[in-house]
Amino acid sequence: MATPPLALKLTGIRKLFNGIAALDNVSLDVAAGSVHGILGENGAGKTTLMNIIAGLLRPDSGSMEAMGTSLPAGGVRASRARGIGMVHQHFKLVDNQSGLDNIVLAVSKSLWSRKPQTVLRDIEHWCRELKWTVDLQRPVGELGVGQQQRVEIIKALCGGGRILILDEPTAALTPVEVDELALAVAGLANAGMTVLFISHKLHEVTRMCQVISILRRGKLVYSGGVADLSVEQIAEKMVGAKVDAPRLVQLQGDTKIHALLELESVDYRISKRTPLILKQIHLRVYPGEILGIAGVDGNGQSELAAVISGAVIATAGRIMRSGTANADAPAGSAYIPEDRQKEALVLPLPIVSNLLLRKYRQRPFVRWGFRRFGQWRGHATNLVRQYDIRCRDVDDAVGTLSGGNQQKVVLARELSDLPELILAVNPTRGLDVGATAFVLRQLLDARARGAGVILIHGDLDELLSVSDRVAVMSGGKLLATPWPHSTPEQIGRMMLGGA
Amino acid sequence: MMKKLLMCRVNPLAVVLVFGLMALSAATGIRAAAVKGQLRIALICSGSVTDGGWNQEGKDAILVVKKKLHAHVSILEHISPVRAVDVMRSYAMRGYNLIIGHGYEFLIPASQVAAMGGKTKFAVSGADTTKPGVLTLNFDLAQPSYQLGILAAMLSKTGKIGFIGGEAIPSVVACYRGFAAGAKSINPKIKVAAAYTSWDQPALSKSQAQAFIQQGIDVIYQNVDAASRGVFEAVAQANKSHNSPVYVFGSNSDQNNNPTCSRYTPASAVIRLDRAFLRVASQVQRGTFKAGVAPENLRNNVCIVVLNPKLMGTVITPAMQKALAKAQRELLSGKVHVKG
Amino acid sequence: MIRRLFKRIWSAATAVTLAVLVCGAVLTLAIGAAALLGYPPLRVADLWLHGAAGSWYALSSSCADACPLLLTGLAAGVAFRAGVLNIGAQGQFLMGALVAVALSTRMMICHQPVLVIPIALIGGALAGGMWGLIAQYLERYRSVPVVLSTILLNFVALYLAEAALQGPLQAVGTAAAQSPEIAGKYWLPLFVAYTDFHIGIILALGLAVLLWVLQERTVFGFESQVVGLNPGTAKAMRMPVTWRQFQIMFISGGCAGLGGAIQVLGQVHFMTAHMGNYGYAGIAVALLGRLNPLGIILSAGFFGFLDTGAFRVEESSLALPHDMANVIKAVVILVMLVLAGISLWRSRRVGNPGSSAPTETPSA
Repeated sequence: MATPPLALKLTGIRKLFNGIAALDNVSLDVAAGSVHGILGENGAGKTTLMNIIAGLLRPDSGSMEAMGTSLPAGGVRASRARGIGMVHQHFKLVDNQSGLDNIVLAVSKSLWSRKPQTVLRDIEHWCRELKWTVDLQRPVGELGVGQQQRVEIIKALCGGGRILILDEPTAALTPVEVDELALAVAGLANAGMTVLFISHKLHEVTRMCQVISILRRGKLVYSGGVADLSVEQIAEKMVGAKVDAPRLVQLQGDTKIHALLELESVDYRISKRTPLILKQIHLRVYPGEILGIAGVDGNGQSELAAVISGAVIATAGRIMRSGTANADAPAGSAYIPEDRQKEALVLPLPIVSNLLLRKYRQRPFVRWGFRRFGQWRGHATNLVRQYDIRCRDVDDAVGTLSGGNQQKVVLARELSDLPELILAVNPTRGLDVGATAFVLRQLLDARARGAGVILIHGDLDELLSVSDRVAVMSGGKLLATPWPHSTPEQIGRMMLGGA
Repeated sequence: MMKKLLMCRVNPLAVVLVFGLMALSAATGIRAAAVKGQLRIALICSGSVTDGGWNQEGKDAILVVKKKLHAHVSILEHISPVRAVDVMRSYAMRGYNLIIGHGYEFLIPASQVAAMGGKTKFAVSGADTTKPGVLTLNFDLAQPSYQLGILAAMLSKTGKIGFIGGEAIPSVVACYRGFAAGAKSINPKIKVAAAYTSWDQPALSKSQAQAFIQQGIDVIYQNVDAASRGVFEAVAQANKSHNSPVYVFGSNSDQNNNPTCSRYTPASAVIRLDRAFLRVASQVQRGTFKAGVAPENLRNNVCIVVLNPKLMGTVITPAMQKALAKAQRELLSGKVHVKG
Repeated sequence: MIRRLFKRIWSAATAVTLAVLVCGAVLTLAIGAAALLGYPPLRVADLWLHGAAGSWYALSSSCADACPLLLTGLAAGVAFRAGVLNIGAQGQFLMGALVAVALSTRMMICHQPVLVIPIALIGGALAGGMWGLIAQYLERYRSVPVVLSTILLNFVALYLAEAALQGPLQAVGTAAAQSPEIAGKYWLPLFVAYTDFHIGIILALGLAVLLWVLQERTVFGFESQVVGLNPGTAKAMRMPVTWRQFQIMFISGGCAGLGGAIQVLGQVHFMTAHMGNYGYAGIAVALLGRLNPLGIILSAGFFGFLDTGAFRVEESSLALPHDMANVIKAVVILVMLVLAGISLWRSRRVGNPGSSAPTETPSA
């Protein structure tokens, strides 16, 4: 049997950033006409590798071949000339121009050689091929994310793309759009295109790709057929260790003695002229339990979190903490906000400072109003080790860390003092498999030592896997559910406003 | 290697370069040596020396001194009074013989530097008081203004004349008083209006002049320095549409041949800065310089009326010339007394 | 520990480097620009350097000019670092000068120089601080952005000063809007006779070091930095955001006000409403010093050096026109900012692989 021709052949690619290997001796063969999945955790080097192929980055060593001829490193034009087209995770479109103009702009070789007519023929050809309808007349900014992505893909195809790189294409899509994209990708492969599909979502990759390559910390750890590995094996290879999905373990003894937090008939509105956002919220959290609050985004979860964390004051009702009426969050409670970059971290500041944002005023970190850097660094170094925050130095800016590591910084700061009450809002948003498991395990550990946890979370599967009790936010009301004596489908229906 | 040196955070090369050059420049100390015995004068102006007004006149005057006395002259523009202390001291330290602060605002700085000692003499133009060690040139336009008042009263057909000043400060108000007194000496019933606008906004002085002309005023005496262009424009426009002519007088410098309406500018009250500066410079040269207030007026030929030669005999009648000469005699003899 | 100390010095030196680098650029440019316009280039460079740093006197003159710039630069730097966009140093400087002049000429509480000088300095600083607080009050309770109100208050201060200097504070016997001269015994003493080295310079340097310690070493400085970089997080961490902003504004305005007071008591000894654009220049000084008080010392020194040198070239026998000198100054500063930009860009690119998060966010 003749081996299929290779679309891409990478040999010994190595790329250092500041002395750290982002890619270490990666060799990769991509067969023409295949859908090739590139898997890896955040920061594993997927995007770096793709940028090198697209000519946006220059590797420190290694060689590349495309369609059998050698591909010079670091040249966007050279890569495009060989038919390599990249669809970035964050689209590179001009928002106030129409789809057609965007494509013409990208395809034209110079300002004087625009030929909208021929381009339009190309576009129609590809739309037929992929069975797509795309609105080419409206400004791109007015289109939905899915439509924008189509414009991007057609742009790459019209530019002569034969090897298409899709960087995290499903990150912003709805499930229906994901399905449509899967069909299109299959159609592209049938038409002889090669697709490089980058993702960290296992089930999508296993569904769409025939061949996968797995990167872990800059090294290629697997390249082969997708059917040869189970999902668990793939996850294990990505993370480098067996990933246990965190599970709830029933605790012994009756711990419902006193509520850590009690909300009674709490209302909230922004001002007198606006409608109520929170209506008659009743809520109790006891030590040693995780109270999960599910719901479709925008049903009052953010406001509930703000009321509980003390960021805003309830319009009506009563909030009791440890049995006393106290609207302010006491020292012993932790808050893991939804937007860690806006509410929990100061990105330009070093990791040390971020780890001490809660405690910088306490002894021994301060003396006579002066910061004691030795103590700060010692404390931070401990936390970095304890929470496995991967960084070069504790003096590096937190902004240089990956999303997962940033969240670890938040967790380390908020949870290391063994708080009684923990409020976490979408704590795994944007994190990969390993980091998600880490975050959920931390919450379960806190529960095991007797802390009460309120988990407001948009991902229902994760929420149900760790919650003792589940309530649903819908239209500003908090509804109790009989979980665990109900099915996920019943809860899903409640989220959508059904009974 | 070179690239690395250049991109290094603390660039040793630059440090060496800069301090080396500093040391070199300090060590060489090649200063342009002054011609021995040459008079060295510095003129300090608060605005631009191309402003077409007070500062430019100062520059022109000092250049006359430079030519006549073969002096070395340095002119510095855009110097605020607070900065002047440093600048004047720097001149004094470099052995300048005379430093002229061109404007009353330089009195305090000049006296500060004069108090530090040294041989340098200090003069300030356009002030009426003085401080120790400073000679102030007190330009008194009141007397020529009196003469212009006489001329205005004789020119006016409507019996209404007007005065526009840049700011109601004593020296400008004195011009108005002299002007009014002169006019009333000819026609006691004449109406003299006065307005104060701005030194540097021609648009403002133009609209004021237009308002005057609307009220029937047909002779305007302006003392608004660089804003005079506006008055001239208003007068030029009025003369295009009016049957009876509207006249305007210049001030400070000879504005009779201004490009806008020189045919309607019969006379200017002129400060001959060059004469004043020349006198002071000569005093410094001869060693007769004395601090104090120097009255600069009709008597020492510094503040005078200059008639427009082109209008002599037509607009300016012999009767007017006679009246002006008579007024001059009376002013000089003290028979008529004008006080600001 | 030693290594860390070294690293700190190293990074503080970054700002220095730029200043130093550009000193070299000054020469090159002065030479180049002057040559283009037909002035003998080497003479211009020589006069410039010599006039700014060629003798103790010249050096003192540069330092005295840098002193108000240092204080307004600190005012801008301290505020920007805490996210308080105070661009009203000009007005605060004027108010400081005004109060200091009033306290040392007309509104004398006593006549002992030992008392009058500190009272005038403190009065000036307080006046500047209070003037700043007006803007902060307007932002907090009337939703007027500080950027806007500080600019507008600059004009209010200017005309207020003019009114005062033509009214109660006007010197006797002049038509100019000028204050009377401050009596010699109330001038700031010199620490080197026959120069411009007045103790105000030492005071300003001391203040810069103090502010550096405050910013880099204390909890207060840490909090204000967090407030400046990310008010959302600061609020979530229960930092007293508003209170810190008011304090920072007071310190910032106080610096500028002290600058005005020192300028009148130490350098010019009387006052007009046009004291120079120290307030606005201070913003450039602060940005050039990368908002670091120690960096601001250097960048203020550099500006003073540039200014004084320019005057010496103008008043020299070369008679370089004032506008020409300004062109050279502007080009030099521009080149410096470009160099600063390059170094910032470099440090970012090296600092974080793949991520676009800035390692240093200039707040303005």
